[in-house]
Amino acid sequence: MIRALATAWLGLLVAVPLLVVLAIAFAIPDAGLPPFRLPVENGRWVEGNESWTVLTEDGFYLAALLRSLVVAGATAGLCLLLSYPMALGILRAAPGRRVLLLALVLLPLCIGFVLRMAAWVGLLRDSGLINQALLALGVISEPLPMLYSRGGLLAGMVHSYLPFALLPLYAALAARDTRLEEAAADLGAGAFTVFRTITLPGSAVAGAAAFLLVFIPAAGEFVIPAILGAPDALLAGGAIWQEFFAARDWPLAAAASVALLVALLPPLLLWQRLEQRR
Amino acid sequence: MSLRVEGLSKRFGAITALDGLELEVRAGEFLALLGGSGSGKSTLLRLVAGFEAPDAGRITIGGRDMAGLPPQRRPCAMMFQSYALFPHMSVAQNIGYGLRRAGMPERVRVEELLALVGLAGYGARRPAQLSGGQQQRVALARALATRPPLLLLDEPLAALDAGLRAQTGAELRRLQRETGTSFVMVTHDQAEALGLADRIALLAHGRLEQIGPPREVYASPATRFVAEFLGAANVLETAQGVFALRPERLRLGSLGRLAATVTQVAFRGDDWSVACVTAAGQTWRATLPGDATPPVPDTQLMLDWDDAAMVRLRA
Repeated sequence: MIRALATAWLGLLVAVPLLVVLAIAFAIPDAGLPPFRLPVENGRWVEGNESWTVLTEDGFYLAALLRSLVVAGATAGLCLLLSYPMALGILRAAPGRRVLLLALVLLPLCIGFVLRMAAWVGLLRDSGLINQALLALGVISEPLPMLYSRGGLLAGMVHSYLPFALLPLYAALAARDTRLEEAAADLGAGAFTVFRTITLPGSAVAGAAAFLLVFIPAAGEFVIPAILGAPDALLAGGAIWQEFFAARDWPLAAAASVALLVALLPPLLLWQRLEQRR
Repeated sequence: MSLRVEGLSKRFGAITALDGLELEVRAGEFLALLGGSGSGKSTLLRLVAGFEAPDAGRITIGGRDMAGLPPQRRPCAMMFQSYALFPHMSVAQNIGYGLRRAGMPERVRVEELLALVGLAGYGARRPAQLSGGQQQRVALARALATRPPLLLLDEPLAALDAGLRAQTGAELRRLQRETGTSFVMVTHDQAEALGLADRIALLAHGRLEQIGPPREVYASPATRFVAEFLGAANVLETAQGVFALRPERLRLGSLGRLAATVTQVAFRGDDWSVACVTAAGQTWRATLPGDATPPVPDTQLMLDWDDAAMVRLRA
């Protein structure tokens, strides 16, 4: 019963939309908007639209895809780098206080997403809090261009995606055998050596899974880059959005979506394999 | 190397694990720390190793005060009850871990240690590929690698089955003699403590009840706790004071000092364990040689003993 429901759910809400997107990617646009027809005449496949040629030959789309993967990788890497000390720090606190500290980490999730991004704009813009403070202190004489920069974009991305890395890593580290670390210290290892030789290898699978859990959704992110990112350095999500809603070239947008999905399949499969190993 | 513990106290919330403990371990000695669960014996090891900080008191190893020193700077090594082998490293990497940290040459010493614990040729395996007894020996080799002058062993034999336990215990004793290392072994098994250690320290409620060579502690228990814990002695309260009487010194027959009813008879291989209850409701335990004819349960008999067998207790 549950199995049948799950299958129906997956079919109706995942498989069917995906097939529609795939169909649009190959469809011939008679007008700019649906309905489209598939490039089939008399039961035979005919020359379709030019989406795939444009996608592969116009460097604009490949560059956007590549930029997305780089930004997603940097976001996931930074999230992981922050999650380790945070998770270990929370675990070092008394059991009663851990819940409080975890709640503080999750608190930003309770604030509306748009509001959080607006707050970043307020912090980063030329007349924003950070620039005003630095100017007043005399550290800088010109406002730093932080909004619409790569650094500003990463700040917003990391802020939004941190819980996705922190929570699985926290769960894995909470379940680890701390006697291994005691044994290593007893054998002469200092705090960092214990982390490098025992804690890190012991949580490598969980760390890789946490990285991918951020990387995969971050690669398709388009709202945060639209608000905080540079307008001339479009990411894959932004390019797709533009084709759908600005250029109204649905077949091209659909083809770009399919390309992004294909690019994310290997990390997705890798993540699934890592989860099975745990 | 000698270990000295003075006025050591440690509390965990409302629980007092150690309560002003005084203890001395001599250089080259094999000391067994014997006590029930909650006696503070494992806490003592963790404080000596430096995993926990004491609330009060002093720990000195070889005359050096250990206060404030982290585990990696203390001249002792610990063998964990769960072995705590590093699962992502090979056996050789596990054994060589301490050598690498100390910047000592690794390869030759690791081979030597593998041979010492009878695991030559097992260096490339992972801990998960070894049996419990083999893992135990890897843990021992790892702890001994840098030749620490003091080895702390937390229930080193508890995870082994009975047959392996006796054999491994004898090996521990041999290694301790050969290396001249001071061993402090925590155990709750009195036979293990009596059979292996030079001296036994009995702990109860975070305090030292008695310390001495096995025969002395067994034959002359100082307190009621020691008498009952070691060899399950009968305790008599008379007008002259409190006395312990070993079950093997209690005679069962038709003549004697005290009438009792047999309640339980159990054959244990080497001997019989007989429980009797007196009219006053007190239970007495006696052991008879394995080839003796035991009394029948629910029959009446008389308990008898020599005055010389009675050991006066402090409390």
